[in-house]
Amino acid sequence: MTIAEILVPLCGTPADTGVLDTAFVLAAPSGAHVTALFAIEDAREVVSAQDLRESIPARSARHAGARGQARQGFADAAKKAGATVDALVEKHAKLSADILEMPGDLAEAMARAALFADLIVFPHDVARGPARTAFIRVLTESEKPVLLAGRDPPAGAPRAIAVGWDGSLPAARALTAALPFLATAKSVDLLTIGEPAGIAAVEAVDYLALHGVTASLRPLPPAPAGPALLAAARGADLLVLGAYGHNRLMERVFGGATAHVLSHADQLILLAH
Amino acid sequence: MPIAKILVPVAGAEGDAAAIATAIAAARVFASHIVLFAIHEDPALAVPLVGVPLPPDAIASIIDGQTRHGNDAAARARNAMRQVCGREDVRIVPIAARGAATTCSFRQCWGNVAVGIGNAAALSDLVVLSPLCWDSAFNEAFLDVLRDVRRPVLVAREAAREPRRIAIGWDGSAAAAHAVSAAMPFLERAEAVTILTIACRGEVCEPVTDLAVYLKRHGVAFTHRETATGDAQAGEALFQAAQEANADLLVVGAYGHDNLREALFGGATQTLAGRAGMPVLLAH
Repeated sequence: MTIAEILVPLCGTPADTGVLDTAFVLAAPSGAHVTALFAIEDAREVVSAQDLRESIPARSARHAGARGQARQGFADAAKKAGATVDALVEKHAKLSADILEMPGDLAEAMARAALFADLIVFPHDVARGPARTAFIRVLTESEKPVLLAGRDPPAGAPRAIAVGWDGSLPAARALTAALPFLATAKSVDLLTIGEPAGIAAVEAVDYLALHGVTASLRPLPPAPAGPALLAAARGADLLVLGAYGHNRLMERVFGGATAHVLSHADQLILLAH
Repeated sequence: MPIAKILVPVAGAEGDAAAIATAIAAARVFASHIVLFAIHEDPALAVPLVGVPLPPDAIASIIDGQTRHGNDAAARARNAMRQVCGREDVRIVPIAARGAATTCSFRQCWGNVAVGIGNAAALSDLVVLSPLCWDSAFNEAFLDVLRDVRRPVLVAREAAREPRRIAIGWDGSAAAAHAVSAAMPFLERAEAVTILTIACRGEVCEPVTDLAVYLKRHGVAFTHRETATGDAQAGEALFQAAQEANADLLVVGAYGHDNLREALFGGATQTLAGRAGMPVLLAH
């Protein structure tokens, strides 16, 4: 499927810039539309629901500041990318974007909007940022590729891609979700983790060959999977990984290896649950 | 090529030919490769566990019988493949390979049927099933593929046409949205797309705005048609509306419409027969 619609969350924090820049770089080749979503909170509701110490007017003022920051960050990033700011819905070859301000909870709004997006990009430090809940929600509920921005925005579409392969269903889902990127990559490495189980790595290589993608198999040493993956993927612009577990808590959503990679990797990471 | 590999689990049963023909019709849109997948329960599992050990002869005869049973089913499925591929002029190749035209290969293996189909589906772009092949193992595999493996399933009772005129059964559910995403490669190449909404008990249905924007951003033109009906007949009304739109394919969320599952898979054979020729693309 072509990537026609990319969704990003805005939080009114400096992390917005990284996620927007990444989305625009990835949107450019297909002339996709970038939708930046900002959730407008009801200060009264948030303060009482979360039992915050902050007063309602103070929370309200802080949120208004964040909203202003989000708008400014969006306008700057769109200008820098040369994107037309317009909610124009028709398909067109030119980069376009719009900011969507929706009342309510960010996680809720992102989960709904993700149903109509082809790719969702979250900030690099999402695990420590305000979009954390939205990230987990979208990752566990949506079938769409979820991308974590790298430490720096990419120079272009990923050229070297590393896929962590352990034969599991999440690994297969991540692989199929990454197809739009794999199809245009210059090199694809399938890094096999641990004892062969589930779906054999050669099946994945054969599947990719049917998609016109030539992948090389690279078995990882039997070291702790996280550091081994990171070391093997050092030259890759994009790392593709299946995420594990069923618990809603971040600590339990990811197994040790995934958690390690998420907190130490510098490059783009594509995840599927 | 967004749909490069289509998986057709075959059972050596009546529905194989229809499933193969339907897969070919879908495959022609993308020149995809079709893998026919015959999997049989491990013969060793057929040996009953009883208190007293069975004599080796009896065990051998049970295993032989089961093996023959599996091989016979695979032979029937291969036969169906040769017939349908011959008629449709599709080349049968020994191993899966990317080509300029649609090709077909056959794979036989032994093991747990649902797990085997699930794993094969995980690395396929579309799974085609015929309801006529279904036994309990196929039913389990069908649910696994939709719920756990999360791959789209195309269900067809009869050989389908190339999916050029597509109807979307829209109820605003996440499952329906997933089905639309799964069908996007077909929608992007369709001649006509109709969004069908069913207004139940006079209530207005889910708005189609989000869906409309999503389709337009993918360059898909569409029309929208709303049908009013009583609650109990939502599934029925949907099939009827799709037929009236002269659709080759109906795209729906597997658990969106309450009565859909019942209408699709409910025991009544005549219900399914009433929808001959309306293939359904499902996602969870």
